[in-house]
Parts: sequence; C-alpha cells; structure tokens
Amino acid sequence: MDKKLYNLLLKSFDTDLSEKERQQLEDALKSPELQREKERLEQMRSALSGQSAPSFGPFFSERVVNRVRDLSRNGTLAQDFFDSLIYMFRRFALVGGLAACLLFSANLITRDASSTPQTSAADQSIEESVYTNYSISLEEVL
Amino acid sequence: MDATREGDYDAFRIFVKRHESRIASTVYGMLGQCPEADDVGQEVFIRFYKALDTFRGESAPLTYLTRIAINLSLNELKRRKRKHLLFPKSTDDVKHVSVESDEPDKNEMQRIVNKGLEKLEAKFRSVIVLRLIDGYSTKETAEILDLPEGTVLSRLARAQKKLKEILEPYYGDHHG
Repeated sequence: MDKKLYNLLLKSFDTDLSEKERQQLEDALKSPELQREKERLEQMRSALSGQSAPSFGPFFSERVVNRVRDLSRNGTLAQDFFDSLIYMFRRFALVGGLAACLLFSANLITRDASSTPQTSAADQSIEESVYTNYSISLEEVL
Repeated sequence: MDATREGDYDAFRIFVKRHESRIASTVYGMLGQCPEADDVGQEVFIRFYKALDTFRGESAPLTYLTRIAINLSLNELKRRKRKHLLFPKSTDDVKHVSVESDEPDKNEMQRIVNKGLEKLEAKFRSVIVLRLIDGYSTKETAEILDLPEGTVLSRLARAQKKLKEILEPYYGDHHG
C-alpha cells in the first residue's frame, strides 16, 4: 500500500486537510485496501475513545483534602526544600561519584606503577651509573 | 479557585470531584490499571494545590491539571522501567489472548487495544491518551505537552502505526 496515502489517511483523522489532499484521499479510498485500513483505524480509535469514565478509589476527594489539611497544618517548607535539593543534586551526585571512582582507580594504578624496580635506577647518581658500568681493574688491563 | 486559595477545603473538595474523572482517564490511560494510579492521582491535585498561589490562569485549570498528570505519569513510568531493569519479570503478552473468535466484542477490543497501548513508548502513549482517550483536540494536546502541533501529529501517526502492528493478529482476514 502506498505509504504516502496511508499517512494522508492518518493525518485526516487529526487535522484538516487541504482541498488537494482531501480530493487525493477521496480518490484513494476507492481502493478496497485503503478503505479496509480506514475501517481498522476507526475501529481502533473507537475502542480507545469509547471507554467508560474511570474514577480513582473510593472517597478520593476526601483523601486528597485530608492530605492537603495535613500539609497546611504541618507546613511544607522544609519538605519542599529537601525535595528541591534532592532533585537538583541527584544528577550532580551521580556524576561526582563516578568521577571520584575514576580518580581513585587512576590513583591506584599510578601508585602501583611508581613502586616497580625499573624506577630504582633513577635513584642512582650519574657518577655511580658511569663508574659502575665502565669500571676496569688494573689486573684486567695488564 | 478563589475560595480554595482562601483555605476553603470544601471548595477544593468540589474542585477535585469535578475533575477527578478526567484526570483518572489520563492517569489510567498512561499507567494502566494499577495501584500506583491512585497515588499519582492524589499527587496531581496536591501539586496543583501547592501551586495555587502562582497559578495565574494563563491556561484553564483542567489543562494545567492534565499537564501535571502527564508529567507525574511519565515519572512513574520511568521509575517502573528502572525497577523492571533491576527486577525483570514476564509481562502479559497480547499474543496470549485468544484470536479464535470471529469478531472480538467491543469490551474485548478495548482490552486488547489497552494492552497494546501499554507496549507503546511513553512519548507515543501520551499523545494517544490525550487525543484519543481524553478527547482533546490536536491543538489542546500540543498545548498540554508543550509541543508543536506538527510533532503531535507525527507522534499520533507513528503511535497508531505501532498499535496497528500490535493488533494485526486480531484483524486476520476479516473484511469490512
């Protein structure tokens, strides 16, 4: 089925079509396939919109008013303040925690690297390293 | 509204009763039949009450209430998703419903469609709930969701295509 025509059919349910679009759709609906799609969409939309008006649990309005009374009696300033703090800092705390873990891991890795034997050579003075490598005894020369 | 602002709880009770059904339709549409819907519903009106002093009437109270209801429902859906990631459980599958009957009756169709609605992503579900279940116009839906009308139309189209795919087994070879 032509996608463009199907999209036009969908659009026709929720917004006004231009004269050209309306005519195009009218002509296209002569096709049994598109007509069938229209009926299915109507059936689906009708099932969604035809539902009986629901309600919340019993005495809903009384329960809401009781909560509002409690709020007015106990004050909400502190609760709102903490709610706002938690909301604002939740994301920062998450990012901060991750960054702390990464830094801690990096610190562990670099500390391990610095304690390896290869670095002990750097502690030798230049004279020690030169004379150690190039020392020759008199007997060897003779 | 003015009486409520002045602390008249009876006035607020009447206000809640007047709008309960519409808000329930929105919340149940978004969350399905579940115990949390009642809590979310209460929270909608509590939040509205708290915001009364700053509510300037730029939109109708029902529009404002519905916006709160959608936002709180989306939060509940996110919370549910996180919980599901930690504690996955099998959910009822629409496919498990029998398709032998030649013509599902109206209630069965509604049940199937609602099951399909639960499978939609939150952003698609919200436009379907507002436009098709609650009966808001496309323009009103766009206002509530703070989206351009074009985006609402696009999401409606995609949502209906997805729903149709989900419901495909139930149409079978029936014509007309």
